[in-house]
Amino acid sequence: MKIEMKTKRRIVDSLYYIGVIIVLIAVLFPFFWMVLTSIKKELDVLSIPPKIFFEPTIENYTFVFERSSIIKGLINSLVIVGGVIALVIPISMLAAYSFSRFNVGGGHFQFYILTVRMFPPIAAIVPYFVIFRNFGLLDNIISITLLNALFNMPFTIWLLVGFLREIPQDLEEAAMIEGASRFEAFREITLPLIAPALAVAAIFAAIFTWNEFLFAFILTRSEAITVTRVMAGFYTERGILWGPLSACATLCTVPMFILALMIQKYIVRGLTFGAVR
Amino acid sequence: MATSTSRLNTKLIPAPFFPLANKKIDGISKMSIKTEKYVPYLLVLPALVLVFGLTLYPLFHALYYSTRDTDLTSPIPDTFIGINNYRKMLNFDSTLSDAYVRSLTFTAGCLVLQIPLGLGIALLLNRPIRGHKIFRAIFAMPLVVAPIAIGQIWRMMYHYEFGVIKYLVSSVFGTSPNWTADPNWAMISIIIYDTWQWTPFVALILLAGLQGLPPEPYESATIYGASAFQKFRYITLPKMRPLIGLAAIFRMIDTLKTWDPIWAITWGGPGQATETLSYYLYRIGFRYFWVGYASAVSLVFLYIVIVVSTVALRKGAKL
Repeated sequence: MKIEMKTKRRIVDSLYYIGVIIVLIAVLFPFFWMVLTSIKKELDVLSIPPKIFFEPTIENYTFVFERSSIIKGLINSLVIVGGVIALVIPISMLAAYSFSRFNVGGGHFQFYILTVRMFPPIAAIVPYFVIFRNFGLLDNIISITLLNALFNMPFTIWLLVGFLREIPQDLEEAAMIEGASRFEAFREITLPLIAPALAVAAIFAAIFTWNEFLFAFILTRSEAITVTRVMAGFYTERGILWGPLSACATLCTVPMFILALMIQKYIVRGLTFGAVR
Repeated sequence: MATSTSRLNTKLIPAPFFPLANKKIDGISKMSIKTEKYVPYLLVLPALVLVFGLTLYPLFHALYYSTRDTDLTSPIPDTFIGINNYRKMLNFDSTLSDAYVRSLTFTAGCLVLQIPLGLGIALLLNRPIRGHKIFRAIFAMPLVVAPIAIGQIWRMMYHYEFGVIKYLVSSVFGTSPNWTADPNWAMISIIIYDTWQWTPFVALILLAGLQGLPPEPYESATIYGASAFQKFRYITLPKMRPLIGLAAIFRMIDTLKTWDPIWAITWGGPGQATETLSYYLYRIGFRYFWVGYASAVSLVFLYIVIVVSTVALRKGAKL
């Protein structure tokens, strides 16, 4: 009886493993193909049937660095990410504190901010284009940073409200009874406790901003191009340069995996605005 | 209040933390009560300025242009045409109604594939087999990749000549569609891509839900001799319904907005086969520069998306 149970369990377990492995292959295959193509010569990329074994080359990477604007794109993207974090995190923290401690607007403000999450960027891009053109802010880092900040804010605010609600208010009240001002209570007690959440929010904002394409595509041309804009520029008259494109995609994707590993525990919580722990 | 003071005495907070703690103040002073009235509003002010400024201003802007026949490529100054743009949308624009249908097809296709698949994967991962933490980390990978990066890789994999997907499918089934080159398969190609990227999101939400389920109902069901399927059908599924709804709402909001992958994989083609509403907006706004008409379409699109999403969120999830 006992042995039977054990073998049954083993069979079920291995069935589970088979299922997981199938899903794993499906998830990983595009990444595998991206990296593989990035080290293929052009003829190997276009070969029919597709090749898995070939003589690797780094010519695609040298092409990306020498002939595309990737360096400019990387610098711009980093500056924009930095700007978005510097703008969004303090603003969101203040707003989130207010929402969680004073319930400002009785939930209406907070819900209005959430509607930005539903706002399809494409529906606003025409007015943005005309407005920024009038202000002379087309192809300018400032406009891209502002828009990314706006579209990241609902998410950071909601995430931080969730984290702040978990910190007992008693702690702050106790400090205030002892004579600390609200600001001091916030700085000395709440801020250290919320710091990890701020880091999580900042990393999420960095990932979303780095990956943002629509605004970069429509509002930048040469000066303010981002990495995603550079990636969209590998098509020529004789077709898409698949090798360099794959190399560029690989370069710009790997940092995101590292960031994602750092916030692994919070991915679900973040993507659902704190609705799911 | 009394409880708060007693908690402080449990040495949760060391006394020298507060330089002002030595000042004898009875509770909170009158001064701070007065400022506290405005502080909450001051704190949300920067956020609201940014949000209102960057959403309402463009909205009014769009409202203004939606009543004009603005065409940025035309040298003739634009004029006021009232509701003619809206009338055009209702009456004459069959490309627009096709785009609506394609958006709905895309959203429906994604939901139909992603919710059951996500549930299946969540059930797979819920078993504490060895390495399940690493598996979870790998499953989250597609969620953090730029659609423009990996989408273009999918465009390459879907290629009708040298694409690896075509090769794999035809070596298994003997024949393969031309995927993105075939108008009948292009939309399916994008739905498959979206499913690849976002099913992990559904799966991770549902997995979090599964792990929070109480064990008792399962134990008693086992005692009464329920089969694994019965347990799933009568315990797991009802308990998971709110989370399934939440995942579906999030996916619906995002699939209605989808633009990047369409640019990355098909550019809306072949022909107009994958031109959803959001891609159609891009075409009339930035290929033809019909700013007036595009503004009108944008407003209606925005209205639909926000209303549908808000109703869904308010009804389906208590956010």
